[in-house]
Amino acid sequence: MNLLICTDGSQDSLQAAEFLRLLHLPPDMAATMLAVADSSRRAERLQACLSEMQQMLEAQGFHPERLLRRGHLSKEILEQAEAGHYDLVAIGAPERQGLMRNRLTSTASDLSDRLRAPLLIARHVPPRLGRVLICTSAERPARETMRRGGALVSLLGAPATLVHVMSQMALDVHSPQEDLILTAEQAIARGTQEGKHLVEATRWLREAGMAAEITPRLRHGLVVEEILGELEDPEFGLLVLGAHSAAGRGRLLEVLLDDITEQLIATSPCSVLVVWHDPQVHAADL
Amino acid sequence: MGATSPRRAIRIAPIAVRLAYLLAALALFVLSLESLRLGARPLVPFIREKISIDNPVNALGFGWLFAMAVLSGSPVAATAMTFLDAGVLNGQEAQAMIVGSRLGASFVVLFLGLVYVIRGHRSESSLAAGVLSLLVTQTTYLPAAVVASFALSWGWTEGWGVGVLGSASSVLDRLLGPVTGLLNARVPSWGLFPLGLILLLLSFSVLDRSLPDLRRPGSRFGDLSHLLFRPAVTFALGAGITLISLSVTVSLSLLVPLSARGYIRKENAIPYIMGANVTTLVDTLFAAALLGSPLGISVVLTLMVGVCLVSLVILLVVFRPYVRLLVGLTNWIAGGRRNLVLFLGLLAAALITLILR
Repeated sequence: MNLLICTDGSQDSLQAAEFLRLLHLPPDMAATMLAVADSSRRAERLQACLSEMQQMLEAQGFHPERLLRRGHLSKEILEQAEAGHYDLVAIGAPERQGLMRNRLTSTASDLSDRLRAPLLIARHVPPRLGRVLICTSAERPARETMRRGGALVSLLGAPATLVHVMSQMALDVHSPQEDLILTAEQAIARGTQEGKHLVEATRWLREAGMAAEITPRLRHGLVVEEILGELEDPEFGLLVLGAHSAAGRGRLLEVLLDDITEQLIATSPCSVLVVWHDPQVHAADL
Repeated sequence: MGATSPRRAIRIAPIAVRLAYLLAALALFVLSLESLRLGARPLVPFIREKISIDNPVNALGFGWLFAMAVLSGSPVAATAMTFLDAGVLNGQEAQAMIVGSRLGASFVVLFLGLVYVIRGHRSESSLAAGVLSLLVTQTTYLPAAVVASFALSWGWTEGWGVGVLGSASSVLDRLLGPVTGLLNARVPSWGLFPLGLILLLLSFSVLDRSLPDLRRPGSRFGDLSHLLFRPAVTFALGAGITLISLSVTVSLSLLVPLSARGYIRKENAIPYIMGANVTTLVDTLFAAALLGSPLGISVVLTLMVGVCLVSLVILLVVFRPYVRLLVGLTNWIAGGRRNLVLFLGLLAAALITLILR
């Protein structure tokens, strides 16, 4: 496994190094620290932050390589990520801030759509991670989110809740109503479309190496609001999502679709892991 | 060659039938407008004095009640144009009557659904789409009516209708000359308005038959049931489909066979209804153009722009809180029979207040 940990010199960016502590990674793992300054004035602060980050990583047993660049944060991260073939790219982010977007949050949103490696946006890292929330869209790309995300989440050893949100309503009085009020247990027992998917997604997570408890959950309401509602439980320390870009959809459909991942990166109270859908893996699945 | 001709004929036949329906609907629409225009003039004392429709608030209530009586909004909006043309209503009153027709049309869908629920066929939650449609219409049309009313009274949109008319109205005047003479000669003046109304309802019914079939399997529209589209996309889709179907109810019902289980995501439905609410007025605009009324065109265009502006402000500025509010209200109203009856009772009280004011 090969890690890239990024910083812009801010204290918030140190959250990325802090989160790695929870992953129980072997100490001989390759890790690179990338610091990016957009002006010479920031260079001094950047060096100080880099040294602090290095101390944190060395305390966890890593011997990270240091890289210092000048330029645009997301552009430099993307270039380094492509050159280095990393298994995980980590970036810190501040607490959610209403309408105002922090530079790190904007960078995280930008990266989530373009980065091919899983992206960890570390925020409000707890001393102990109680639970992970894994979201599934029940669409075809969900399979890869479960496999790649599940492999990383298995390193945490924490129990997980697997959630699917139904925001559907019946278009007319003749449409069937029953599926719109079922719990996950009822949906699984009755073998509805969502129930079958939750069973299948649990199996994919197990195949990815997750040994801890997985609780399927079906919520009814608006997608973003229901996920944030679930995250109100302070036990949750990580939210796992698929990236907005998905293989096989086509660029036009991506433009037409709402970017739920971006909205959740901006508003999630805890860290977020975004998993991109690899077209080659996707094609092999088909 | 010989084998392809019958196949081609089979392909063309349905298109020809739809075109025939469209032409028949158009002819009926023109005839009905002329009959309504001739029949509206004797109604001035009845509407102004007997039932006291003498301000925009009354006119709004009148349009609402009228749409409930004929179970549709478009014929009432077209009638408002003939009232304006005949001098029965002024511009602001005609505009308010159109707004009332939209509220009434949404109310009718919900009311018919309630009857279905009371007969024990379904639960109240099956009315969620109807409730949401009514709430979206109320929250966009009422602020839009205020904006449009100010725009009209300050004369901002006075010239809008003149450019649109061109020579179309004079051609129609020539075409309708013999029809007008025939109607005046054969139909008593008291019968012209009811005849026009019947022809108008018939024209919308025939128009429904001319609609293109959007129920093709594998259509991308079907993704509305599970994918989450950007609000601007479903707004444009709602506006586009309603531009063809001319009715919000028909436009929504067209989505039923397209989605596997007859579902739509609430996040998609709200902007879709908003878009549909803008272009559903196109037939009213057409009626104003056929009547050769620059003021009528200005009235409808002002309202369309008002609805569009209010919708865009919601979509761009307060979309998420707006969706949360409407979905919360919908869940409460469709959450039980008592809530639903209470909501409909409040609307009925509002309607009575509007008419009696």
